[in-house]
Amino acid sequence: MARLLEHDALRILSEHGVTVPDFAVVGSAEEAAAATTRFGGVSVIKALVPSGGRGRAGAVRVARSANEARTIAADLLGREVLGFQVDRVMVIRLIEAEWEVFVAFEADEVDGMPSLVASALGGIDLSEVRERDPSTLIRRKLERATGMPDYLAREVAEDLGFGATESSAFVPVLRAMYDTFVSCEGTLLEINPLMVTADRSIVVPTAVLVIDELSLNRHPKLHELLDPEATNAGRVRTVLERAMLAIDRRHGGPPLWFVEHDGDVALIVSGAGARNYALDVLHRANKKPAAILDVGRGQLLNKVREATAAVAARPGLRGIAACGEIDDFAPVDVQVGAFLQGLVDAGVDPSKTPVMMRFDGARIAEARAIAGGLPDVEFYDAETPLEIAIGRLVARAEAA
Amino acid sequence: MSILIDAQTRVLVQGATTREARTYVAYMRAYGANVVAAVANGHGGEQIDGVKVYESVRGALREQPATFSVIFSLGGLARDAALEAIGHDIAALAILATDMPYHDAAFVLERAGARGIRVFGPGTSGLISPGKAKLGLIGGQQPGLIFRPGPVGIVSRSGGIACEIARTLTMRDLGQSTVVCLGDEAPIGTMFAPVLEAFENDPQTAAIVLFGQGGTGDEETVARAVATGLLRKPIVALISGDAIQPASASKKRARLREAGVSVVDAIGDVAAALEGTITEGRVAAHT
Repeated sequence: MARLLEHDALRILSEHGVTVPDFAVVGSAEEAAAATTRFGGVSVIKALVPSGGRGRAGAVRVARSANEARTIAADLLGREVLGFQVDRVMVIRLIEAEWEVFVAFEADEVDGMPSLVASALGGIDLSEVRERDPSTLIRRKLERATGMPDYLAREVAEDLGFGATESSAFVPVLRAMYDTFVSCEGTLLEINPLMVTADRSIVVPTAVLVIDELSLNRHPKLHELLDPEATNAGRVRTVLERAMLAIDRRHGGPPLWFVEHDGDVALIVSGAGARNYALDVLHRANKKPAAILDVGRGQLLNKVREATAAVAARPGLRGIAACGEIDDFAPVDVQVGAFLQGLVDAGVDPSKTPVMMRFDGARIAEARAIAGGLPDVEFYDAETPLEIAIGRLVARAEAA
Repeated sequence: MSILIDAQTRVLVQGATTREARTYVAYMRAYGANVVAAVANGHGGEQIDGVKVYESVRGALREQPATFSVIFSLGGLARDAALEAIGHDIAALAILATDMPYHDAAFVLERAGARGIRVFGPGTSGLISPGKAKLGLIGGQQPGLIFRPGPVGIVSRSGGIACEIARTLTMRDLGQSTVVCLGDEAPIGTMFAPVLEAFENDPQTAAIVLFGQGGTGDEETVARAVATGLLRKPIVALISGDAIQPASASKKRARLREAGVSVVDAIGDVAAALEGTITEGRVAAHT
């Protein structure tokens, strides 16, 4: 999922007719001071990084004067915030709200269909509310056939406690948000807070817009704004993650799924079910993964080899598990050969870094023989359940 | 009996010229699936494993009525293929694509729902009624190594884990009535409840295995159906997600347990939990 920088999200909303405050995107403290002067001497200054949690990280601050703006911008620019280098800050005119609410369009948490979520408590942390008291959230399912009908917007306004004047202002805003969410193929559009001002108009001073990466090839303008290489799983892409992306691009074929963590066991799997199940097994054994590589199904063998080598060469590994999903029982000797070559390329010595492979399918005997080409590789077929095979690797990793 | 598919089910294949389709249509047919026609734009008149290829679903249906379409079309192409099948009221679809864009999937599922059409996936590995027929990828070239006919129904978010479970059951002589893969990621069309209801009404199925995961899914609905007596056959459930969504996974387990479902923690524990409930293909608790 690719998250737009906030100024892009606000600009897109504004193009759809939502009122957003004046803002400027600047790369120097002087420009921040000048923009603050233009906005009446008071502004909010935000580090432009594609991540949540900026407030808590001290990267969203109010400037009560041009001087203060200069100091804040000078402090933020060039700093690292949530792992991202801050090259630019956004300076926004400060809006005084009479009332703040929360509004988002997102995938429903049960069936994944598009939903509107709202709360009368602006500024809430949605994940916390979901854990603690989900009943306070207003949730409405959306249908493409009806879009965002005005009556539904008025009902939500009523649920939020808005009066007639606020409701009339709210309806077109919600319609514009829905249009933005659908036309950009967003997976999340979150406004927190959405503000009602003293003159009873609605202003959107902040926005999170996350775009579905699977749809990006048909949104060239959004693709230009996003830097999918910069982030992975909502944070800065690590060096190894960037290397894996390069391997993926060079070979083509089905995309790799790869995330690096700070544990010490590398998991190489095929398929999301086995991936999540294997993670659970590690979790219960109080082990953390160092990296999870899901090669998917029908992957190119040279890519498997190179990706395996990249993972296996990661420093600090105490164990490596390669588990093919058994669901298609395709000839496994060539798959096992590709994994094994990757391990050899990376110079893995299984007597020092334990290696476990678990595969099954046609030509399993040949696969077992190939795995034997690297001494001390522990090899299982499907007779041994996944959790037991991984459990044994964990035990050996602990002992190593 | 079995549920949803058997050797008589008339199957259409869409996106029939993708690499996967060319491989798996042959595997499906070799296992007994009654594939009556294929559709691939620009390939009308060709043959895929002896099956005639048509330019359109309409053209295929004129000559070969079908009630189930397996859609191999990938990514952004899956939407139109699914809408075409829905537009011609094919009763059930399996969308195999794991890379279908979110809004495409949501739109297709909404349209299918409005027309009363059952959709598996997107992202399903398929369905198999052992000894009768298989649709999609599940079981690959040699499903007989993993599955055998018997009394256990399996419904799973993951194709890979469904196979892992089936394999452990088959090794202990517990065959399967039908194995249904729903898809890993939301949104998906069919969730657990309607599949469990079909198993409940299937005379061959004596007990059911459910593999769910934290986050999305209707395990809570299942728990209610069990608690209120709508589902009476024994169910063994395995829910993953401790590493990624622990709160949701443990909540689902708790709801299912409260309702009387046997919840296990590992694939290797499923067979033992089932064995107590099944005697010679019948349900111990109901005899």
